[in-house]
Amino acid sequence: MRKPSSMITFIYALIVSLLAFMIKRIDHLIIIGSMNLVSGASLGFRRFRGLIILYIAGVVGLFINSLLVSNRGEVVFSLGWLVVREGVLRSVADIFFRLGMIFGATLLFLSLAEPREFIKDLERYLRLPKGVVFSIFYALRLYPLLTKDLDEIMLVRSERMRRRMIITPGDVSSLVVPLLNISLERAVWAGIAAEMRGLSIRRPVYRGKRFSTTDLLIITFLMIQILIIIFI
Amino acid sequence: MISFNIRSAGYVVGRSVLKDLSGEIEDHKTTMIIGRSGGGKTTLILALTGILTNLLEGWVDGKIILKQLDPLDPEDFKIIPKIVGAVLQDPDKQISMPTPWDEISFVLENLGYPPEEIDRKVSQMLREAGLEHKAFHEIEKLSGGEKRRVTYAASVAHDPEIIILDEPTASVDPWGIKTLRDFVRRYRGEKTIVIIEHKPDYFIDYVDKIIRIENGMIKEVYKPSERDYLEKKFSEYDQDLSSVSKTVSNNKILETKDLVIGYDKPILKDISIELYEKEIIVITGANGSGKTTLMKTLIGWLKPFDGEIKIYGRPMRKRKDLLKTFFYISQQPDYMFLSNTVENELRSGRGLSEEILKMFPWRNILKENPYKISFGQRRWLSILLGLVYQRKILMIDEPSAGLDPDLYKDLVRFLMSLVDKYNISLIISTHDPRIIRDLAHRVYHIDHVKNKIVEIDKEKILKMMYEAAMS
Repeated sequence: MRKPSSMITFIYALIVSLLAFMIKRIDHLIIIGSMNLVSGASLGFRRFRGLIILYIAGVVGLFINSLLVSNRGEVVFSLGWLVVREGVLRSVADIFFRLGMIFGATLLFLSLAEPREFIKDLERYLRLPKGVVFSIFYALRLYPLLTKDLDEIMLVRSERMRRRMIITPGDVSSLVVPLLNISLERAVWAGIAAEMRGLSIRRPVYRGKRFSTTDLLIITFLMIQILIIIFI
Repeated sequence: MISFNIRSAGYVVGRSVLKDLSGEIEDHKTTMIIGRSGGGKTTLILALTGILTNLLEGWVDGKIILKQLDPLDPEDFKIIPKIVGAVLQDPDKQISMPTPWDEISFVLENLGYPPEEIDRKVSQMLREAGLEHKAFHEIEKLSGGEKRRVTYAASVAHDPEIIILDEPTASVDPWGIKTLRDFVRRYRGEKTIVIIEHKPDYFIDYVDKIIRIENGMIKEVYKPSERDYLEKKFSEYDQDLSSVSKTVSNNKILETKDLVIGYDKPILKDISIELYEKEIIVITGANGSGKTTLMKTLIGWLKPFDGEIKIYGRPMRKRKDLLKTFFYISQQPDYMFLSNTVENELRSGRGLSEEILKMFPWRNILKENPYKISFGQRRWLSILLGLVYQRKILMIDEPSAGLDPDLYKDLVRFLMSLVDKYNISLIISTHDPRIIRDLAHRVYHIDHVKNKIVEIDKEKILKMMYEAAMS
């Protein structure tokens, strides 16, 4: 089956994240949070396994925090000296599923979207200016180059007897100045190269969106969640 | 045709880089522009394409006609990308898209080609460049040679009438040069090709005209009929410096035994090399074969998977011990600087600073920021840093990249004098056959097929490199 378009998954993640801040009822949070966590985790398990485990492990910290600040209401259960009241479970569920909505939707977006397709869609469908879209593309390209630059500069710092830990403003300067100088020169030439290839005369082709089956599945999934909030 | 009559031009008002230049570049001919670094070759190209005035806020006093267009006029400048394709010196500075497909389609999208035509053309260009199976690979995961091929494909995807190549052979291995020569041969006669180059020998058999620029002025223009004269002239110009005296001590300073190196996994095995005091060894091999990785392992920046590094017979494992012996000088000198003036850079080590200061030939720029001086000056400064820190072995990555023939000769003499005077040894990684011819006592070659490094006869490797590049 074809992947849904990056723009649809982006809009999905955006709306679910907004809903996470708007929903007030705990039962809605549990249902919609579970839907997103399960779908996001199953799609993203292969790539984001560590993050998912970390998120689930975070429940322990969340529980301890809630025990300290929200241990109010009816006693739900007690284990010797440990008395857990309704407020603890409510707080844990509230935070876990609220964040779970954002986390799950983001996992779904990251698992299904291709960064380059997403950036192209920003121009094609959201009509972002070409300069902004080019900059985002270039940022994608720049990231591995900056990593390489940083490695080279750290090697030089090491052989020139500078400490590896960046502590003082002088350390920061000796790291940032070469990084900026190299990046600036590279950016100037990348700009020249882009202009030589007609960036300034680019006329973006705005396209009307044609929905695929998988796009419609994502939209239906979102609609179900909105209907749950409205009608249940 | 490109015709130009430039009275003066430059980047900053009042400071001319080009002076009284006039000439023509004929249609469907291959023209090479040569001359000293900083002499104005790239500035001329930037002026001819209108980039200097329209993008870099520079100025041109004069007239330029490029295919009936005035590139100095902002409206005409917008049409220039349709008729010009350019390949810059460093693919990492040119490529701005994350995959080969996007890089090639970028120019076609900009110029308004219909989507179906873009798909067809990009597929064709990728097929011709032998990259169709890597169309959507991340650019960073391509080899240096593959990145080069992406830039060639992107420069001709829109079928421009003019192709500009700016120092295309810098840091390119002989196999890459062959690809480049094939590229020039393919479009020669069909398109107008302009090549800026420091190593003219690589293209002498393809060019129709050579323009030599010195101090912003045209010094000489060679006609095709003078080719014999030219070849003599170049061989004299690029003279053999091997007569410079070389004496090597009997003290073995470095020995590696069965070293296995790499980043995540081994890329080179059974590395056994030796280096003596006052000796210069050269390491050659294709782009990405592991030359820089070996240097970074010797300095302790990368841990070897296996094997031993011995300094004066004593095994060394810790980075701090290796750092006392080695100094690595990157191919990109800008990585090397940590201070805000040239003088502070040269005074940053212990002792010798006055002596080293005297060795920097450009006394008038000692108070300048190292990032503001020319490439050749930065290269000099980066090498001198090795002396500042008084290390016994300097490892220099591609020392001749981007240097014109005069600066190259100065560099060879400079390196020779360092070895003689300070008793140091050099490990040089290079693709430049001139370095092997003029400096190397011994040569190690990395066979990237067998993943092995072997000592090889100088004449044999020079012949091999020449045949690989010029075949």
